[in-house]
Amino acid sequence: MKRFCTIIYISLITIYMLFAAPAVNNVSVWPLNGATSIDLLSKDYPDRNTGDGVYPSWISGTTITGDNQFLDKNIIGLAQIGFSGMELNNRLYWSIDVVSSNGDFELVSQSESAYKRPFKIFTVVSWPQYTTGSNPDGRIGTYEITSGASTDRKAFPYQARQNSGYLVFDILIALPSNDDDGDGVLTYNGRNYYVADKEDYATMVTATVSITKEDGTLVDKAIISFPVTGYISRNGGSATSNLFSLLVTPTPNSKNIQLEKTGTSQQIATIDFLYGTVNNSATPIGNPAIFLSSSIDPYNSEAERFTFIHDNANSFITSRNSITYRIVVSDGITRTEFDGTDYIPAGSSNFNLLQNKLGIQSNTAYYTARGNNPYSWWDYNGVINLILDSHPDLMNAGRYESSVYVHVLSE
Amino acid sequence: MKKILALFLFIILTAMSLHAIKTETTKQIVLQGGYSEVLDVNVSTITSQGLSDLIGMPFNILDEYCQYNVAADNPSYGERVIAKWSILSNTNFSLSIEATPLKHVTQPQEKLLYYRLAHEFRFSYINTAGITTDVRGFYVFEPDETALDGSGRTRAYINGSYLADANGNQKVEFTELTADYWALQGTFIGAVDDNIYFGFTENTSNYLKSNEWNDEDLPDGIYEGTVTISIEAI
Repeated sequence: MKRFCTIIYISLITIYMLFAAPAVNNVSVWPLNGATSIDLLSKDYPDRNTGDGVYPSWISGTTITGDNQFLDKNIIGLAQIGFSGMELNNRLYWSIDVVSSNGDFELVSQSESAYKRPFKIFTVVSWPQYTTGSNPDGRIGTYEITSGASTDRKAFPYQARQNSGYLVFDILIALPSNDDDGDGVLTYNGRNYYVADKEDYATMVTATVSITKEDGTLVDKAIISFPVTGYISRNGGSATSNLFSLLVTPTPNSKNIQLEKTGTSQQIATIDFLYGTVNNSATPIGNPAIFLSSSIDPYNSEAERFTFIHDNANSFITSRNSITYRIVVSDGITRTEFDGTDYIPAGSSNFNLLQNKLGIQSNTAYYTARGNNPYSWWDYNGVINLILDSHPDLMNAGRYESSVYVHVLSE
Repeated sequence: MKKILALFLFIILTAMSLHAIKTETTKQIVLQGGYSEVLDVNVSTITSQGLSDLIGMPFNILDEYCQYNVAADNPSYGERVIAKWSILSNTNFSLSIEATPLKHVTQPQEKLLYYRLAHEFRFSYINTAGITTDVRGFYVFEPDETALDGSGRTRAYINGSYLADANGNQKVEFTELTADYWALQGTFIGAVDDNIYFGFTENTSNYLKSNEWNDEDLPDGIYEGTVTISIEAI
């Protein structure tokens, strides 16, 4: 009899645990092509924070025409949380945090880091299965995401706990303040930003969506990092609108390579690449390729090996004042090695002739909240390392320089 | 007709493919690196087994192998090897030599015995034609016989030829030879490892010869001087 009671007791606990299990079945975050080639003086990125219960409208045009409107191009990322069968008393909370690689929410010119453009991040939260006449998209509200801090934890809607569905988070970029008087200075939060024509403003954005229980215990989370790029063109001309973002971020070590360390991997940069657009297709458009060489011209068949050359070497290069090296790019799974001599053969029609190129990933996501439509993109996130070849024990002392060129091409 | 059509189709496809690849962007990563400075000088004296030895110290100051060699522009041959020196460097440097004249250690005298020091060096470098070339030369320290502080001047001889005074003082800057001999673009790289020769100056040699039997001017005993070699990156 004693044994029977024990079995009953264990069974009851098991059943209770099944009912108490988290009701979230997946959390996803994806980049979107709004992150590429943003016109950083455009008025179409409204600084708008409606808070709970005010439902912004999405318009299909290309320009904002009224209050509480957003455009598709404002969205730089999407997050989606699937859930089902939550008990009414099983409270779960969502929160999002976004950080920028530059610390503050600023896009920074890659060629001149003194030039910056501040931005804001908002999220518009929707529950598409819960619509009303006045809120056909099931929107819940718009919330600002402060740099480096999570949004306040928000509980899943009361009704959602009895139903199945998805919470959808559109992650929007907003451009506060502007150079309205045309004096070349933009003032934001009491700070002056010089407005400079540059096509290479960029930052890395990392978005994390977390689901927690009432006591703060983490249930699930999803993280994604992707480059956000933009341009400023004050004189009417517009920069080429690209479908890609490429962010190559040199490490401090890239300016202080220890040339005695032959055969050792030394990190010089990170590389983050995003290419694509909303296409309602499980196949991403285009066919991008990335490779690295010692020549600024990707078609240069005479590109030489990557070589550090002593500052005073001029044209007289010897084994005492030059050091060759290899570049290894790795995304944590695959490892691609370049020696500097790669190039696209003249007249080639595809990248298959290029022996060394990065394995850019093709991705497809199903944006369940909007009709289960697929969209797809290419991306690559990796680190760039160099490995010095062996050299004589005693090299010319002093400073050496070299350049590595990262080429993006598409078919 | 069939053949012509097939050829036509091929040409069209080729023409299309020529424009198929588009360069989207190119980003440059500028790298800077540094190679650490290596600079080291060592001197090891050679100990003679007896006063009849032709090399090393101590030696008889009246011995002919330490007297002034008439081949002043081709120093060291016939003079006495007293030490070895070595330098390891991969950067520009200057060399300073100071030497106090020889003096009797216990019987102070007015006459100071001045001498020259020839620092021999040999090294190889790769010339602009890519050919390894051997260079042999000397730095000869010549004292200022009117100065009491051990200063003097240093003269450079390369492959047997007088090259240049080193700024008219005792400091040699190796960069001064760069254009002709240190062909690695302004920086000496490599090791020097060779002999240091001793020889009295012409005045002192003449004095020694004329006073060799004069116990008052040249008492028996130990004569001593100090040589200081210092090296500095520039």
